[in-house]
Amino acid sequence: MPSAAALREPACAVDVRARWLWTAQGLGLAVLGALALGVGLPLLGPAWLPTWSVVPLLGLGVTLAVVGAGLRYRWHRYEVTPEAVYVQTGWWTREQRLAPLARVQTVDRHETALGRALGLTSLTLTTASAAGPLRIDGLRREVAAALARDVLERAGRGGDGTDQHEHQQRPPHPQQQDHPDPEPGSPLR
Amino acid sequence: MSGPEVGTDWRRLDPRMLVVHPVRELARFVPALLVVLFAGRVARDGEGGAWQLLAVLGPLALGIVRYLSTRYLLTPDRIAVRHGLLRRRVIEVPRARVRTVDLTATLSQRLLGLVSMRVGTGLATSTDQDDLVLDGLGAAAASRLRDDLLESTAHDGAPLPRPDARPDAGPDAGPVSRFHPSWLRFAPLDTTALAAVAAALASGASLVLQSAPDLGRRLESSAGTALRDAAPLVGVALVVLVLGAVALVLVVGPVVRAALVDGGYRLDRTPRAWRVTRGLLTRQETTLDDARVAGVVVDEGLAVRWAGGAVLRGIATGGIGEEGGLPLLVPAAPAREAEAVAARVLGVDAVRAPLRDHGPAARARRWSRAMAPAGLLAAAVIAGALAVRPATPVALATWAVAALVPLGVAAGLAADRCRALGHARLPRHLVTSAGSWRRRREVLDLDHVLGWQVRASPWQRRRGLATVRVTTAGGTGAVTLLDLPQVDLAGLAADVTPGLLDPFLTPLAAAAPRGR
Repeated sequence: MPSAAALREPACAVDVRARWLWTAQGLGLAVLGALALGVGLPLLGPAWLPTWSVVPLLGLGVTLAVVGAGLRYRWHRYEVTPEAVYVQTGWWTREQRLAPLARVQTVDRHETALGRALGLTSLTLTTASAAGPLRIDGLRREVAAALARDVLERAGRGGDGTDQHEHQQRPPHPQQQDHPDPEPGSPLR
Repeated sequence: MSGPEVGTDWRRLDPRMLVVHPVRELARFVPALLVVLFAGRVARDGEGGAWQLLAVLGPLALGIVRYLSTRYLLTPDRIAVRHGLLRRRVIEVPRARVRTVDLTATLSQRLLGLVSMRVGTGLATSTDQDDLVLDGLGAAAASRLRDDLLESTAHDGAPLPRPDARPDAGPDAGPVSRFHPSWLRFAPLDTTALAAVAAALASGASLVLQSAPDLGRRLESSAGTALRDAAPLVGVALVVLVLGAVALVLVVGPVVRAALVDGGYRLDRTPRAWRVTRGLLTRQETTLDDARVAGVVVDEGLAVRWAGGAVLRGIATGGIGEEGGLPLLVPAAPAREAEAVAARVLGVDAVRAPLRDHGPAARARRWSRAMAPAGLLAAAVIAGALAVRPATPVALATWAVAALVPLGVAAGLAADRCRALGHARLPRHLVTSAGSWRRRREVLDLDHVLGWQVRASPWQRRRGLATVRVTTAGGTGAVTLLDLPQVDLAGLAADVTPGLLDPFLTPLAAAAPRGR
């Protein structure tokens, strides 16, 4: 083990379309903000701030949306090995999160409306820690499904760190799973 | 065996709760009762009398209904409780899922020999409502049931001595730690109490000073000319009196609170758990199973630390009621007491282990982060002084002091934070330390490590530092190594999670390795 070693970036970039998704989201926000200002400024705005100042502000918003999406795409990376999952996020304060697959408790897939149109899925992996999940945004739907399957196969093999019987193996409990029927003889019946 | 027995029938709680419930309901209804009694007196007719009767009987009836509509069930594999008359609610817990069993007894329950039992499953997301509570069991029966429930979830390992083998009957009898009245000296020094004192004193002083001239004038007009000359003196006396009273309340208040909450504290060792009992009036007992102890936190606020005190908490998996994952092990006590208990709980004197320092870059960040806001403040004061141009030497000195004090305080904080910052790697534990105003030393058992979170802002990256969080199921979810040199990460990871990070490491050509 070389003592002068640092964490490298995760191997995989997310899908290229994620960049368009994030750009579109940013542009949507910028346009909405500009519309709100365009309506609000003539009515409520101070006299020194003319209504046409919406135009440069919109320009600024559009630039931020495009550049921000590009940076987010550059820095949001992930890697799943047989032992661990490793995710990097953030272009300003950069954060790398790593968890052993054996400690993963839940795997959650979700899609926004725009994401659905582009076929993009987010994956959230939780462990027993309250310090926050690992989240991968902008995965192609098939990639996300395959990843979720791989992770669930290996999850929960070593206990999740809360069980007092660490030898007793608990099955992973993905949130998609249906709730089992209440126990027979349950007094609610 | 009397008390809770395993069976298939739904049973009622202890009938003595028939006394406790109405007392509680009455206490809850006191404001309404006062209104009704008062109104009845005013009305002075038969109607009023009926209302008064209803006001007394209502709470009584409610209490009885509450008792009658609550039943619980104990079977060999689950425990359940059923509430409600119209809206029925059943909470069931499989015995194998029981993580915590805590006992609480309010004053009225203690007088009757009753306790309330809370059974938790250790869900990170659980709220108070989700926990199964048996409010009102006989004290002896409850502690038997507690031992029984915790035993059925305990390890396979060595057979547990029967619960009736009293925990303190061993060769090292007596509690591991017990309350001493002198510990109350730390109560007013608590960071939150101190902040409250400072805020109250400041607002009180400004209020009194604002109203003082007005006060003098009013006294003058009402008490005639004789008082006119004395009025300013009266004002000053009032200020002193009010400030003294406020200070007394703010010192006595926390002391009384600490005496009530922590009084009678004792920490006992049971065969495979730690048991904390405390409270003068309401008595609460928390049992912390060894398997749930992921580590400890030594919590030292600035003032408490200066007085030589510390608070010890456990890092526990599976939250316990209001304390979350950080159950109290030793309340504010002399630091050596907290450290000695920490050493017993961990099995190794980890909290006093010599720390590895995080290097000059991390120290530089302590200084820049403390001095930057203080510098801004000082600059603002100097700008103000230049604008006002104080004429007298006294005014000039005041401005100078106003500019220098924030700088001095910040320098003190920075130096103290530098002293605290560091970490230690022991064979089975990771120790972290940071902070000045609120210093925390955290010890995490390496068996309880889950994963890693490495976070670096551009400023940190420029200095080759990163804030590293080692995640765990217990406590707040992670212990934090503030501003760890990035070149130290690989070595730390090799000690804490051997092999886990290896595939993701890359040789750091530019930076020279720091000597160990």
